[in-house]
Amino acid sequence: MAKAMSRAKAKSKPKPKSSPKRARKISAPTLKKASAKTTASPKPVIDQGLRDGIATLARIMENARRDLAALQANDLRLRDLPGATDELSAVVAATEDATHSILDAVEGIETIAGELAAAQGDAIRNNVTRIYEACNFQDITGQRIAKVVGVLKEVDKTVLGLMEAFGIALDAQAAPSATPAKTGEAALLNGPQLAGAAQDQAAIDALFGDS
Amino acid sequence: MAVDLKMNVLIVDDYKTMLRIVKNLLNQIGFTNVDEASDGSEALAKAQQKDYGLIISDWNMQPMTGLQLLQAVRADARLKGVPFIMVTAESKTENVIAAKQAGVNNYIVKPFNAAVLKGKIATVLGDF
Repeated sequence: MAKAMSRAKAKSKPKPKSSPKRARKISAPTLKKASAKTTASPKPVIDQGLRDGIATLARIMENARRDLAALQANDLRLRDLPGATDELSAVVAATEDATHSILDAVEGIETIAGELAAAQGDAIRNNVTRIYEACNFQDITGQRIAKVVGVLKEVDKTVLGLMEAFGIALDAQAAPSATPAKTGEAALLNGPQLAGAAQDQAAIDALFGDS
Repeated sequence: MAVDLKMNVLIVDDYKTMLRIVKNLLNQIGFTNVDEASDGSEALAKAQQKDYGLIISDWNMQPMTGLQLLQAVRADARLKGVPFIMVTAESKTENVIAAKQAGVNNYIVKPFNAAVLKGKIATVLGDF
């Protein structure tokens, strides 16, 4: 996508001879009228700048359509983007669980600190306070990740819009296109699995014959 | 001015971990009567049922935000005087201005430490 955009940017640079202001200001209706006129009359009735602008636009559109097809937008919308948001939600859930476990343990330590001599108890409590402060991270990272999830949803919406604009159908039935098959050890490195897809230790033990 | 450590304090955040952190830090400071709510509407309902000496609230929550809670508190004849501290990751100037205009007593930006929490409570309630 970024590649396509930078390419489009490079190509849309107006040539020094043409009038960049005019070329950039072409609105959709003008464009239609202008191209209709060109086909109707062999004589050019529009200036070179406008023709260049139209040609550039056509190239950009064609490139974008090709890029979108190459992007395998179906996979993106049906598999990759939902997969990414699931992974991020799993991050938030995991940090929340871990933070609660840390807080459980630290609250236990703080209770014990109350039974110790004042100097020892205070020293422990000071460290407990630092752990409480550090646990701020879960709120902050959770909010940051929620923002990224929002961005992914926007990307999803934009891809859908582009697919509609270019007449690329979203086909939920289509088999996901084959990603280049991983071989050897690389094929084994896909973890960590999401909660529903992960095997627990008992399942591993059973496979291992160690139950 | 002595602060009554027995006062009821209401803390509001949609992150359960943050509620636990703030509650534990308040306990360390000496406040023992701490209630929790996970958004503005739950907090408002609790505030209308009980007398609170201090409300400490996050901003970004659903369905009712901390700013809407603050506005509702300031608009309520019985609650309008309750000290209100915003604790939020929203650190832009316009946020602070909006909160001040709505009548916030102080503003703590996340992540925060225990000293800042205690210091701001002392600024709002008086030394303790």
